[in-house]
Amino acid sequence: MSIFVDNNTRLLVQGITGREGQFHTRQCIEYGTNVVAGVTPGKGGQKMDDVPVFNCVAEARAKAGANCAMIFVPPPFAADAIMEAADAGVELIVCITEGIPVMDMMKVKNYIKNKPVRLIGPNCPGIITPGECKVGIMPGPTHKPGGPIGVVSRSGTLTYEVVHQLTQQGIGQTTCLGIGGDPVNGTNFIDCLEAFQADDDTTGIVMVGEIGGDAEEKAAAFIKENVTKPVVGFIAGLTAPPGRRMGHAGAIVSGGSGTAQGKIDAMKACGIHVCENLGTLGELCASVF
Amino acid sequence: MKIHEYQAKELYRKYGVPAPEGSVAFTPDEARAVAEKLGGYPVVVKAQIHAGGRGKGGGVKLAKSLEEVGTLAGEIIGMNLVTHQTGPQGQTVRKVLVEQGLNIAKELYLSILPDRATATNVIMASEAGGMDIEAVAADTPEKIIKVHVDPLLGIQGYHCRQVAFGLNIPVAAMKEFTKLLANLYKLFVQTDCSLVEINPLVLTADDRVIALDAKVDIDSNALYRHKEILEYRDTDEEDPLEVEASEYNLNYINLGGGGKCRRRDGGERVPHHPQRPQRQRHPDQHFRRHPALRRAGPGRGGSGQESGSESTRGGAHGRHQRGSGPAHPGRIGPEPDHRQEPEGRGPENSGDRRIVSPFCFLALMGEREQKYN
Ligand SMILES: Nc1ncnc2c1ncn2[C@@H]1O[C@H](COP(=O)(O)OP(=O)(O)O)[C@@H](O)[C@H]1O
Ligand SMILES: [Mg+2]
Repeated sequence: MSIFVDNNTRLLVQGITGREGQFHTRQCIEYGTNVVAGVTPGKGGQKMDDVPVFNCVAEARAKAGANCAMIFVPPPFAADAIMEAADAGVELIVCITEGIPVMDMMKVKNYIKNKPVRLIGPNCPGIITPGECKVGIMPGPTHKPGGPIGVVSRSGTLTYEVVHQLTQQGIGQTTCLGIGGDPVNGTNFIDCLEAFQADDDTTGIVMVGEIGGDAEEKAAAFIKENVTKPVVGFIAGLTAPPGRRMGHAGAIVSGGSGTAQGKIDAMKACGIHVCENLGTLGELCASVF
Repeated sequence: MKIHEYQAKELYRKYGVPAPEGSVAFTPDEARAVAEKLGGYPVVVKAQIHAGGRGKGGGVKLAKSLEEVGTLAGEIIGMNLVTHQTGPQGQTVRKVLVEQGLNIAKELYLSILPDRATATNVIMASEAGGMDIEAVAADTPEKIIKVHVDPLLGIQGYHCRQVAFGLNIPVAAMKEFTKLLANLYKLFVQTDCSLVEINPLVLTADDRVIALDAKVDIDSNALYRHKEILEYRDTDEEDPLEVEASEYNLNYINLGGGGKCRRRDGGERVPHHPQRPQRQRHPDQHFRRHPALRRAGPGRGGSGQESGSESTRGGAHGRHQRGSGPAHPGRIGPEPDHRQEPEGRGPENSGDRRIVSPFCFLALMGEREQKYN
């Protein structure tokens, strides 16, 4: 088993004819993902390789039966693309785009709040169930199919590093996903932890956080109460100087939270195995899992 | 992106948020000319740098005569202003705002910013405004009221009233205050701010509310739709290395001392094979390929010196480290600074850098064409 994506995922790619969209669609297909449609307004009727392109998501969904959308639309139009997919009833939306204005994402988040849709990202590498389905830009071959570990991360490249080390240790993954580095995103740590906890094939979880906000602190508290599977954690940004890129009203909102050390302490206090040296994460996982 | 107080006040006036009369001046002569037009004393001379805490640092002075305006402007322009927000090395002042001095009855605090956890815009306000707001937030957070606004709904009358009553605004100033807040919210949304902050927002003896200070930070991701705001960019206030990197569309943050960068992944960047940077290339090689990054290179002799001569925020920090010996060949980024982090993180942390940083550099260089399988 796995979470959110598997063999039944029928993928639609928004922005499929752009350079990045094209490249990564091909990579996903090569990995084995079932890509059933693409959307580029104005290019309906064309094909990208063998994938039919439609003008809008509703049409693509109706004609191709997609249940998941991957978004490669440039930042000025990405929020619109997410809302279009949500409005068309797509169940899972994975937005890769980086650089969406916060104001746009706030609207998106409130717009989809009461809809039966899950948004992953934006500004994320996507999600992969190794051996079954890849929806994103991660290096597929780094992953080892068959489980039993789930990986969730706020970072992109760090996720690849973590997965690489797991694979080198002979530890496979059920599902790996990045929830994105933007301040306002769709799926959060807790959603993923909940799903991994409920997934029978997942026996342990790796969680990679970073400085800023309090998502890690909240996740740690959640783990303490609700997660019985072992969790290994890592926080990026231990060496970032305090105060950089933090407006002083921002500091008021979060009080003392947001620092790497604060997050590490919170995680340790909740029974998470915190790795303080990324180079040894694989070994730590081998001993914990 | 940060802008200056005088620019923020321009925006405020445009949106109907009252601010004192005043203008920017680059020389004492210009400062005097502005003061003459204001026609009345006291006049306040305020250092314009991209950091707050100027009052406590000696960058805000009251002048009672034209002569004094010139003298104070002469003192402030060119000074190295150190505040809790500039870091110990301070920031050179290149211009001042000369404005009306107001008769302050009460100093309030008012700000709006996006709240990431709830995806709402949060209005924060306090009766305990002024130069000690950080202490208020730390010691008596209950003195700060918060009102959340749904971004799809926008600000409503009841939001404004909630804040107004929370601040004990006198009845006579009520209407003016709610109008100010609604206008400030409009400014916040329409110019894609990541923060608008007025500290202090003053109540005058004759029941007017006026923004004495003005801070506006803009979401850089939204600058593409605010060309007029881009004109406000002041690269004198930014780290020279970061300015140079930005000319190449690189997202680089100087952390002082050596070269380091924020990861730039996700989005439309193409990821790279994890093994590659460690095995086939020394990460330093990536520095060599870009002048901006080359100069930020990790503690390599002369080139390191170069980056130490500028007035970067981490300048002092960097010089200290460069004195500490030759570069560690396997390490990227600065030596751990034991002064700043007394608990001291030694070699156990170097693994972190060794493995993480090459990705940063690769992603940063945007080598998107590389195949990863
Ligand atoms: N125009 C003015 N008239 C009277 N007092 C002022 C004026 N501008 C600033 N001040 C005083 O100086 C203090 C600091 O100024 P401010 O603009 O808030 O700078 P900073 O926040 O950087 O210290 C204010 O709290 C206020 O008491
Ligand atoms: Mg102030």
